[in-house]
Amino acid sequence: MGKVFNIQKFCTSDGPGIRTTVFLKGCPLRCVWCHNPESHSFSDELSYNSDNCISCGRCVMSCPNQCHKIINGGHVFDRNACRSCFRCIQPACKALKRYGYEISADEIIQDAMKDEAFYRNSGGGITLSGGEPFAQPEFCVEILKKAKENGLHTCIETCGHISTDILAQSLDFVDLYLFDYKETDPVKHTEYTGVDNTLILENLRYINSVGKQIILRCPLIPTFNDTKEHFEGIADIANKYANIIKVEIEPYHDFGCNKYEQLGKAINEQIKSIGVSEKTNIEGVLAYIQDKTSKPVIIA
Amino acid sequence: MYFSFIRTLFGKIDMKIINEKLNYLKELVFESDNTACFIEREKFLNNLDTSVYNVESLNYHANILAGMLDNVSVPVDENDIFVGRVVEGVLDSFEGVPNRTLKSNGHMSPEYARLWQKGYKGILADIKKNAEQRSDEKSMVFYENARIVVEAIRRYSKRYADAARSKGLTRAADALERVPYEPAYDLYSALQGAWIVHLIASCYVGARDYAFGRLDQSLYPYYLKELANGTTKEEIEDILAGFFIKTNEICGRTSWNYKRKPILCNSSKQYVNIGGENPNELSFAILAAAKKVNMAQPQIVVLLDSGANEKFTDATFEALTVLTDKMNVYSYTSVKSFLLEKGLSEEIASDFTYSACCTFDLNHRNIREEYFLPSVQTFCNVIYEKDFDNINEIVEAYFDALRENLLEHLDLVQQKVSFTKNRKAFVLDALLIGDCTEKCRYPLNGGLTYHVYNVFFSGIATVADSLAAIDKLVFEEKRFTYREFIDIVKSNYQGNDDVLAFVTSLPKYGNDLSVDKYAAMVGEAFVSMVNSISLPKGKYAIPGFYSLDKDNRWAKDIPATPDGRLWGDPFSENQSPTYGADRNGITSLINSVSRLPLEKTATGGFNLTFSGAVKPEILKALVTTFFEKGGLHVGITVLSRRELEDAMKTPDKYKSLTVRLYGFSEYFINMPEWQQRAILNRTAY
Repeated sequence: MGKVFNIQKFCTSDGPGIRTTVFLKGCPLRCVWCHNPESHSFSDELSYNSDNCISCGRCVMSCPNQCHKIINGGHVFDRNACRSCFRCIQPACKALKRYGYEISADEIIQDAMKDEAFYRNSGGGITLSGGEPFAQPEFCVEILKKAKENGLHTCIETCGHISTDILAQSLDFVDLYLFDYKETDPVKHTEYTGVDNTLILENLRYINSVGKQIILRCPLIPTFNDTKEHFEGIADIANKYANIIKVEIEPYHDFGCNKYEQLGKAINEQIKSIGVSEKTNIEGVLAYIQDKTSKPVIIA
Repeated sequence: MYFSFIRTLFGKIDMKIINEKLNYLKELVFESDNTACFIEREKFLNNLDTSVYNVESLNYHANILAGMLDNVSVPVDENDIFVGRVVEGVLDSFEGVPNRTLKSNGHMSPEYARLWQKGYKGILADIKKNAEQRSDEKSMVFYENARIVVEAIRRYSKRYADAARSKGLTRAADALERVPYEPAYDLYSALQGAWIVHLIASCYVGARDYAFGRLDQSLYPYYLKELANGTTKEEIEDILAGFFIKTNEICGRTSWNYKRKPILCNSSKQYVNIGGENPNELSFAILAAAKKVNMAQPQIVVLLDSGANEKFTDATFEALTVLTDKMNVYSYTSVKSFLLEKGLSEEIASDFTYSACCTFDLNHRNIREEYFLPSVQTFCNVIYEKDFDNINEIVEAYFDALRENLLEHLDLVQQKVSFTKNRKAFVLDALLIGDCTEKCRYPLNGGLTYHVYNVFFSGIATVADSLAAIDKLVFEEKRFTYREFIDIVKSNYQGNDDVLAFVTSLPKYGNDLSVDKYAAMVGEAFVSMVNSISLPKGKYAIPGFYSLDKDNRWAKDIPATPDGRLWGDPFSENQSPTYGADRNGITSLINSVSRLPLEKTATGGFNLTFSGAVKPEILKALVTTFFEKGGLHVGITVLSRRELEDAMKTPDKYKSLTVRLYGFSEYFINMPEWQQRAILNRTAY
């Protein structure tokens, strides 16, 4: 058994063709721009979206810890008192949502196999993402193994900050690694993600050395990593490793911003302002990097 | 000739001029007055001289048509690629507009191949011969009507030839000196002749939904002639584009039920079918021309054969990414197999078409009726009135009631239609139905070998989710007795917010879950009911899951349903889940819809909505997988919520914005607000 927070069908940008992407919970990094804050913790989390709350009061009746109150006709949620029992989530409630649930590898494969014909007709398959899927190593490898037993094409999206031994265990069951490359400068990397990039670079070298195919996935975050030095670093890495078949640039979007508030988490103030103030010339970035490498550079 | 003219001027074809002409003609459509009627027609019919047009005459309607065609103008725009327009104007009063003294049936695909091959001259000669052999009064009346109409069309075409020549449109003028009276001699003349007929049928006689049938097959010999004459493939695409633009000029830009143009062919959808077992070079040219025009009309219907060459399949999905809501894709393989099972011959089963609202035709061989079963109303009546012990009992009682309703309807429509009514409805149409000309009979007076009834079930998701809710709450979990639960539903869930919240949160059809079994069960019962109905030889009841606009139009009179739908709320559209109920991705949606017995239907529609551009290879994978699983039809909308919301606020900026509605494409800014909101509420992937 392992813990996931979403299984998404019909994903068309997490590897080739039509795919089912399984989002595993828990991540060793804390990238300031992360748009999936619900993926950080290994524990289940409660999200409260006040925009969808109709103050019906049914959560008040069902919460044993008096976390929910209706005051002056409005809903007030005391997150500090919450013990994560999730009893407050009542049928048809659109405001409260639980992120995280236990599931077995067999159940995941059974669900994914419902779309087998779509994979077959599109060259698609299953992708593990997160969080960091390798952060639940046994579970992750078990899913990949069973996927291969069922003839599925497999991708894994990894930040690379994992033990190389675990990575080695996955090699036989992964067709394509979607490897994140977030920042070239080691100091900035630590500042932006919370971890040093030495292990990440070592794992990238390792995957390339064993002949597995890699797509380099590079988030493009205005005011953080939209620097010429980093773009040149992306091209250098793409040129350095023969098995990097493509570079995908992932433009920043602000879809995740509201989720921080809904989960009671703090969001980086600089990130918060990007959506309204900063624009990146994506085409220009693509052209700049493409000019320096023969590998295809595309927008993810 | 038109293209020769440009060649002479510029030494070679000047694409800029062609594109400017196409753009100009497009603009004319958008600039036209949607409140204007075909004013010369109205004035002529409103002032009929009864001393000339004697209602007792057996040739009354034919004479009126002839008189009208002799009197109306023949306007030509110097940028016309094909000529044939109708003067429009606004009358002081809309009362009695459009005049129905003359009114055809429409809803058919005239046999243009025969017109092109024989010309009206040849068709008339056949009718004469057949009538003389039969030598009965009805046959002679049929011939006399035909002669009057054909001669009138010949005179009208000649006047148009002169008008075209005076504007320098030599190619159109040359063509109309001959067609449609004489056989077509190349692709241009074939289309020019067809346009004159289509114009008269739609605008002067008057009716909606005349379709062009399997155009890539019927027009192919003329395509080859055009190539042999030295016309390039690109020039042929431009000719086709010029023809396709014409189809937008006659039907108005609003829906038939909202601010409709006061004409009998208002909101007439213009269908062109291509593909099947033998797509050819013309099939590709038609796709290319449609992309070039990219307006609400014509609706391109691709009949996709599972064994079709890959190149055509790829071209289809590439075109779908551009044309989006203006295109329909049907599984040719599935429909043909269904028709063979129905007992139709290989020849007939291979030659079907779609026209107007996802409805099915045996190409030009039939006229059709459409019947929308009152499926959700009947469901409410059944579950409200009687108590039941299990789901099977409900389904059995429900379909007993629906069968009774359907048989009553079929009895009604099979009652003999009067000779006079037929002559009025088919004064022009019958000349392009082979069976009618052979038998010298109007379609519903013995002229037709085939008669198709499209029988539609609407609200499949609403009914299925309602059964699921009853099964869970009453029969499985026994939270309520049957009567307790139905009384709560019947009260519109008054004072039972918890029950309403609970049923609303139950798993729904459209998410690839076990709850889909209820939709499959209802679907099976429906197709069995329709397919087992015994009809006289040549008559076919064809089942389909399709709602048109009944999901909204009927909703206000339909009480609450056990799935959590409240009194007056819309029920589910076509084969789709209730709007917003599908939350598990498009592949899950397709898996759910595939559980309906679509392979036992030949009509109906399934619309997919995307929130952004989709790659052709992804569309191809989705649709071919759906068809592999038994799917029948796919239509798509690509919409950006932001764009639609902006279009509601500033409509003038979005005059060409179309969305898919039911079985066709509509201009978004010309829809009523409730319908615009319904579009916004769709689940977009």
